[in-house]
Amino acid sequence: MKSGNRLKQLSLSKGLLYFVALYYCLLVVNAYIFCKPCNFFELLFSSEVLKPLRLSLISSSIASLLSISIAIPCAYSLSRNRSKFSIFIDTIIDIPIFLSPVALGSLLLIFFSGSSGLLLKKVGIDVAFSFLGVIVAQFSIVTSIAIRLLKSAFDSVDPFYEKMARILGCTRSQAFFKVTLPMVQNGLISSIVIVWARCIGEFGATIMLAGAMPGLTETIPISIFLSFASADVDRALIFTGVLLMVSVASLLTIKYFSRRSYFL
Amino acid sequence: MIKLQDISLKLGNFKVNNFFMNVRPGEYYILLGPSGAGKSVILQTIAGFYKISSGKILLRGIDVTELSPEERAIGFIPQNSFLFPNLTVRENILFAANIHKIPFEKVKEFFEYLINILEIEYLLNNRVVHLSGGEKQKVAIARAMLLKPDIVLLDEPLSSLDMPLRKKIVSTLLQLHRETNITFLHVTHDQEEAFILGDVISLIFNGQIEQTSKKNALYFFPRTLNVALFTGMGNIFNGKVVSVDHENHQVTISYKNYCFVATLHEHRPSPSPSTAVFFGIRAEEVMILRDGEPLKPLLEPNILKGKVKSITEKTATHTIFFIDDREEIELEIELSNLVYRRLELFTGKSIQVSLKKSSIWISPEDFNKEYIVK
Repeated sequence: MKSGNRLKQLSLSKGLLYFVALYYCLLVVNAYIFCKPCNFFELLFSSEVLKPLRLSLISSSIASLLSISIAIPCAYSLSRNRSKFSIFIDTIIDIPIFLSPVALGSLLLIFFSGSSGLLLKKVGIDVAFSFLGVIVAQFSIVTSIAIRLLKSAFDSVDPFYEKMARILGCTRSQAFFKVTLPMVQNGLISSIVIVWARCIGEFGATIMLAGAMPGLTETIPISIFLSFASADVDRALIFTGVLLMVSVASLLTIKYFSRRSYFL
Repeated sequence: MIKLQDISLKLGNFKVNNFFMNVRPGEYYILLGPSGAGKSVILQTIAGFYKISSGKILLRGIDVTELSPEERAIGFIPQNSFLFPNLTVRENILFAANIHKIPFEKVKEFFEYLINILEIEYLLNNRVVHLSGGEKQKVAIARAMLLKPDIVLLDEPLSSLDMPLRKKIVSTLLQLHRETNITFLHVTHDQEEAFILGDVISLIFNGQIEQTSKKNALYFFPRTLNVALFTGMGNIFNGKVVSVDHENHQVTISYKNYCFVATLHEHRPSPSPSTAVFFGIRAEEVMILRDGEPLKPLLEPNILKGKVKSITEKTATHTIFFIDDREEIELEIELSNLVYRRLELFTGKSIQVSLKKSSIWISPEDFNKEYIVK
C-alpha cells in the first residue's frame, strides 16, 4: 500500500516535470509554427537584425569583461573575509539581484542625468542615452550576479590549499593565480557565460538609462520590444530566435564545464 | 632548531598562553595530545598561518615571528594531503621547485630518491583525484620534502589511513628521518604512532605542554594525572599518604579501607604524610596470583581478594574486570591470551591480585588536588 502511494507520488512529480518542460517548448513551437515568420533566414542576415545583434554582442562582451574583472577580486575578498562588516557589504552587493532592472535603471538615469552626469559630461563622458549607457546598465545589472556566482566558486575551494601553496614558496598573489584561480576555472567559465548571456538579454535598466535609439542603443531585447510596439511580429520573432540560440549555446557551455572537472 | 619562546595567541575561544617548546636539530619530535588540545594550532603557528600576540618563534636560531610562511622555508604535511587537484602527481611534487624556478636537473636526484622510497613512481602521471588516501599522503610527503627543508612539520598525516597503510607509512617516515636527518615535528593524538616514531614526546592539554620526555619516561613516569590518563593508566585512585619511609624509599597510601605500599622513585618529589595523592597502576602490571603458589616477598604488601566481575575479549589480549570482596576497588587487568587461558578465568571466579609496589605510580605534580577519579 505504502509503495503504491510512493509510486503515485513519483508519477505525479514526473508528470509535473514533463508538463513544465512541455509548457516551455510549446511557447517556442507555438510562436514559430503558428505565426510562421516569413523570410526568416533572409531577415536574420539583414542589416536591421545584424545592427542590434552587433551592438548587443559588443556591449555585452565589454560589460561582461568589466564585471568579471571586478567581480573576481571582490568575490575572493568576500569569500575569504567573514567579518560582520563583510556580511553587511555582501548584503549591499546582493541588492541589484533582487531589485527590478527597471528600478535600477531609473536610479542609474537619475544618477547620470544629475550633477554626476553633468560632471562626467564636462570631461567628455556621456552616459545617459548613449552606447556607453548600454554598457553601464548591463554592467550594473550583472556585476552583483558575477560576484555572487564567483563567491560560490571561491567558497568551494578550501583556503588551506592557499596555505599549502604559501608554505611551498608562493607569495599571496602567486597562491591565488597558481592555485586558487585554476581550481575555480570551471566556475569562472560558467560565470562568464551566465554573465554574458544575462547582458545580452538585459532590457529594463538599458532602456531606462540608454533609451531605444536605433543603431545607437538598440540592443536585441529593445528591438523585440520596438518590433512588437510597431506590430512587426516577424521581426520580433527573429530577434527572439537569436536570443533563444544564445541561451541554448550558453546553457550547453555551462553544462559542459560544470560536468567537466580536473579528474576527467 | 625550533624554539617557541613564551608565545601566546587567541583563535576564537581557543587560547594558547605562555607556550614554550624546544626541538633540537635532527630530532623526531612528537606533539601528542587529545583532539582540541591545540596541537595543530601550534604547528600551523610555526608554519606562519597564525599570528601570535606575544612571544617569539625561532627557526634555526633566527627569529621568524614576523616572516610569512613562504619565507620560513619549511616542509608541511597536512592531515588531508591537500594536493592540488588540477595538477598531476609529478606536478604536485615539483610544485615548490617550479615556484622557486629551480631546474628539474637540480632536484632530480632527491626527487627520484623520494619516489623510490615512497613507491609512487607508477603514479607520477596520474591526476591526484584518482589516488587513494594512502597514495595521496605519500605524494604530500614527497611534495613537502622535495627541496630538502631542514624542518618538516607533520599535522596528523596518518589519522585518516587504515592500520596496515599507517604501519607502512610510519616505517617510511622513520627511514626518511634516519636517512635525511631532517628535523621532524609531528602532531598526533595516536599514542602508538607517537611511541613508534618519536625520539622526544611532548604531551599537550588545553594549549599547554604537561610533560616532555623520552617515550619510555612518558609511559612509565607520567608527571600529571592528565598524562597518566592519556597514556592509558587504567587504574587510578585518589588516596592519602599515611607515612613516608625515606630509608627504604617507600610510601604507604590509604584508600578506603586499604593501605598500599609504593616505591618512591629517585629524582621525583615525594609527598608528605597526610597529603592527598593520585596513585595508580597500569592494567598490564596487575598480577593475578595462582592458587597455592608461594608469594614472592616483592608481591606481599598489596594483595586484594575478590572475583572476576567481567571479561572482555580483544584480538591479542583479554581485559579482566576485578572487584574486591568488600566491593571498594575495581581494577582493570590486561592479560595476554596465553596467560588468560592458563589461568582458566571465568566471570565470578574468586581470585587474588597483587599490585607490585614498584609498579604503583604516584602523580608527582598533582598533590592535594581534590579531583575524584574513581
